Amino acid sequence: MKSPLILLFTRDGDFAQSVCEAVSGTGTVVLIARDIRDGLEIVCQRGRELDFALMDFDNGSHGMTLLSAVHTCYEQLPILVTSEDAEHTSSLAYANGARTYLKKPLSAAGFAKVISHVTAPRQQPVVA
Amino acid sequence: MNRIIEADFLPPPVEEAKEKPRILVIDNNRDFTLSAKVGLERTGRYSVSEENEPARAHQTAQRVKPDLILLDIAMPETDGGEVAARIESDPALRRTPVVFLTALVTKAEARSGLEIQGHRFLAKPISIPDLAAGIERNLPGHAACVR
Repeated sequence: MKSPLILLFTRDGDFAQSVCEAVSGTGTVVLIARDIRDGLEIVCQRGRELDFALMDFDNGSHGMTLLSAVHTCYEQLPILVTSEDAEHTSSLAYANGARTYLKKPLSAAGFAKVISHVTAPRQQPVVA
Repeated sequence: MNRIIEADFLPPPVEEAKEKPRILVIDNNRDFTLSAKVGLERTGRYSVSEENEPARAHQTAQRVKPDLILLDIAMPETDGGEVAARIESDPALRRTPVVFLTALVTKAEARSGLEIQGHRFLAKPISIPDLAAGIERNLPGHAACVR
């Protein structure tokens, strides 16, 4: 089975570390894009290989435009958005193509559950 | 019985390659200009240039000769209003529509047809589809742009 491949957009080193810790032991590979140019390039060129992108909306990254750009680059890519401010960000995130919103801080167990849900193969509709 | 099949050896008329509208995005925030460039160019409808240094914006506009300028209002040192004034005073750029980008207004205000210093504006934060819609509304030749 292929190891899940995640693209993480964040400039927060502590957050990146906590994500890596949360997925340790699951075989998940985390690509960390501290520069959004690198992140967008990966989405445009290797979007199909990614299982999902996790976008950290904190640290003033003009998240909504970036999220929308990622969605425009590869529409099928599931995008998870995380931030400390759930009230405003979650609705913006869902309105711009995010599949899931996660409020910080993320627990390792909660995050692992989300990963297994997002990376699980989609069930084919059953024809009676 | 013989059948005559007429072959069309003439190549189909080649549609004249249309040049994409050139958009110049001026904002000191590189994340925003890059996201806008990648997202807008991905739609296949625009060619986008970025300028993150407001003091160089006029010079860049002279070089790029954009069809439309997206200009952030709140920038350090040289604000968007000042940049717009310089562009307006340039005879070569006077007719280029300038659309302000600002977090100081709501989306409803942006849609209402209000203007800032005689220019239309778009509310930030903004998605790529909304940005593209704002560009289309204000590109020269668009019906909504006729004043």
